Amino acid sequence: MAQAKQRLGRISGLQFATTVTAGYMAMGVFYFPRELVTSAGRDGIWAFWLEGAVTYLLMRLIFALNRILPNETLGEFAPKILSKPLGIILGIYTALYHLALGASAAILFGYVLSNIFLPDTPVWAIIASMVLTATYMASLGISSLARTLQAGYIPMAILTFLTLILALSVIRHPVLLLPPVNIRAIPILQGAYREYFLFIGFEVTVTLYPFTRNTDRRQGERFAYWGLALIMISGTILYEGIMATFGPAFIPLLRWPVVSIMRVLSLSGFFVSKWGMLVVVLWTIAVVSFIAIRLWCLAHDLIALVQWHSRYSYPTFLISGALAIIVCSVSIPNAKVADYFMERFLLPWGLGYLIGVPVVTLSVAHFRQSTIQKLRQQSEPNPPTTG
Amino acid sequence: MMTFASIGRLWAKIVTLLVIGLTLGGCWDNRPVDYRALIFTIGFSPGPKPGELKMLFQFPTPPAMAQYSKGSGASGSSPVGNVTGEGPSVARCFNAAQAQVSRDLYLGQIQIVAVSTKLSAPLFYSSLNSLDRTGAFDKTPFMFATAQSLKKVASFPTTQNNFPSLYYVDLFSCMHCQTDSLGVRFWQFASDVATPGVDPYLPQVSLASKPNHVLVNRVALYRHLTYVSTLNPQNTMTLGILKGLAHKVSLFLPRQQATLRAIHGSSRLQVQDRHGHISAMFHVVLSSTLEGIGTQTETAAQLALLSHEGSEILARRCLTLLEKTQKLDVDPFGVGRNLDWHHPESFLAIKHWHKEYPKVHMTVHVQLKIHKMGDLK
Repeated sequence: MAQAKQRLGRISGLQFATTVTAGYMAMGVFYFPRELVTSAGRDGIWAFWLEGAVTYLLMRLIFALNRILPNETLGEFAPKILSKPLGIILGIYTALYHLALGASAAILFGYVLSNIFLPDTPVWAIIASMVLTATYMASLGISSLARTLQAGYIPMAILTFLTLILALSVIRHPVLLLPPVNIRAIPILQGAYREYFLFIGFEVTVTLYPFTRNTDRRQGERFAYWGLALIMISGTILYEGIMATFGPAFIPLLRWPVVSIMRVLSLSGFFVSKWGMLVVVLWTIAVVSFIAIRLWCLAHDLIALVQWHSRYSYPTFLISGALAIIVCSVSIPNAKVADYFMERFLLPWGLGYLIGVPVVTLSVAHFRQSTIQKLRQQSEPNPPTTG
Repeated sequence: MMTFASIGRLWAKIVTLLVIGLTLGGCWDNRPVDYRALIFTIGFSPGPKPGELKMLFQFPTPPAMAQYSKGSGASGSSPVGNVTGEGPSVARCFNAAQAQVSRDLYLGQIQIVAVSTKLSAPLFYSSLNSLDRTGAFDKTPFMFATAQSLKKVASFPTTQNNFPSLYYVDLFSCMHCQTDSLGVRFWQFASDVATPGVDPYLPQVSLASKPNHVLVNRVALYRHLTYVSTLNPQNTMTLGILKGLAHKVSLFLPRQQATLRAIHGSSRLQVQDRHGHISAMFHVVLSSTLEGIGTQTETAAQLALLSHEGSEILARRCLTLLEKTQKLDVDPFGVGRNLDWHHPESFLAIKHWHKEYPKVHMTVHVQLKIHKMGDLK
């Protein structure tokens, strides 16, 4: 309880939304829209919009979950509501989930950098440098991390958005810009599922929510929805650009279609002619931010799990998490194996988490209103209004 | 006053930053440019043994590069070095070539991919695939085909550029410099190869012996990756018109002794499936400049007549070319692709598009307008 009070008033609503938005996309964007197009062909755009709609609903669900006990993280309040064993299982699941997401992002971008820019550099060195940078970012606490994201992630996102407009100049088949009207439901659902790791990651809110100022929480939620809207607009432009440039038959053959279109972009006459490549390099910020957020969440969830509250607990878990991510990442021998793990395990378990955890917790909470009220008064004398 | 813990934290930060700095430097990939031979042109042709590849690796020589960077241009001996490698795969050819060069052959600066028209489809496919997997290769180089010696074509000195590869890059990247914008980048070619219902094409480069010059006014047609035929210059211009790539096409109308130049415009393809009968319609809208006319000055009625006659001639040429491609069973216009994108069920019902393409009913509508007439009244 004392800790919960100390944590109040840390980050603003905009910082909350920035952190939540930086907590997804970074991992799946490199595959985008390969899985959509492989499954649904030209209908892939409908699958993407379906993913956006599902994410919006899941975000609402997660925010409702956060509001059960807004001053405590899920790892802290889950054992009190769901029973201790279930809470511990959920805590372990959450910690492993963050670990797997962090490792996946590190492997993925590690191979992108290794394949294109640094073929002679061992992947472990690239991954280790990214994870170390992320550890440093996370080590300074959520306020510093959120400010770093505002200073680094937002400009990078704006630059990417402007570059996407430039990508429209390489379009070869404008006819493909029109959404197809012969909609086929099953391929669209398959595509939406297989590409969903684009959005896996926004559940950082379950740990982040109590670290947001009481008064800014609802505003933070609204900003997070706006963040999703911007991601959907950018994703749509990106999808349309890639589709109308490469065509639906070529996209499934590309390992990282987004990187491919960025490599095609150039600004002749400008001092950096390979502009798209520069943007790909700048995406290091997005990936490192993503890993930093995972590490921060991982450390806090582990603290809640083992109930070790000390000045050494956060750095200990942070460094342990970073080492675990490095070890997991370097154990994956190549990008194909990483693809296999992501598709076979991370995607179903991640999606299961996003749907299962809020549904189960909210359902139990619905029947344990009196316990919730008691816990709310314990964790905070003047709780924020619910709704 | 610093405590023990704060000193520890400070050291932890310093060590972290040092490690990050060391690993971010990309030290493993640090290759001084002097140790590298930057491949500007890569060429694929059949090797002496069946099923083998012969690859050309062309790079600028160090003296030529030094002169080029000073801005004085290459002079004296050949500005480029050529090495060839033979083998069953790209990697083996590369090894054979690397064995002849003291520096690191670097594939991250390729600007031209030259392909012999004699290259078989399986070899072409494996070469494309290998290049595609090369991380440093960014899929943006221009491609051309040639029926002549790759080495001769790729090394032919021009007075217009320091390096032969730059001549081709300048030519293909400047859309308005060519009669038709014939430049095809690697990713565009690879995309057409992968897409059903369209056949790729490449600009064909040839060397004329008298006078000594490079000619880039023809197009090599492929059926998937099998070379089929080369269009003559007039048909190449017509192909440009049908694909909306024409920029400087000219037309002589003998009856009026008139010449129209700078013919350019857009083309729209519409494909329909009427009860199993596929028809393709090309709507071509062109603008042109009147360069000369037998009567010296022109009237509005004459202009209308010229437009009408020019449209008819070009439409006839377009139809002739379309029929020719139907006879060759090659679809460089993407009629099948258009059908697939607009009527996917109809396209899926067709087993082999190449058997269907010759049966497609073709229609061409050309609307040629004369917008500019020069200074004469």
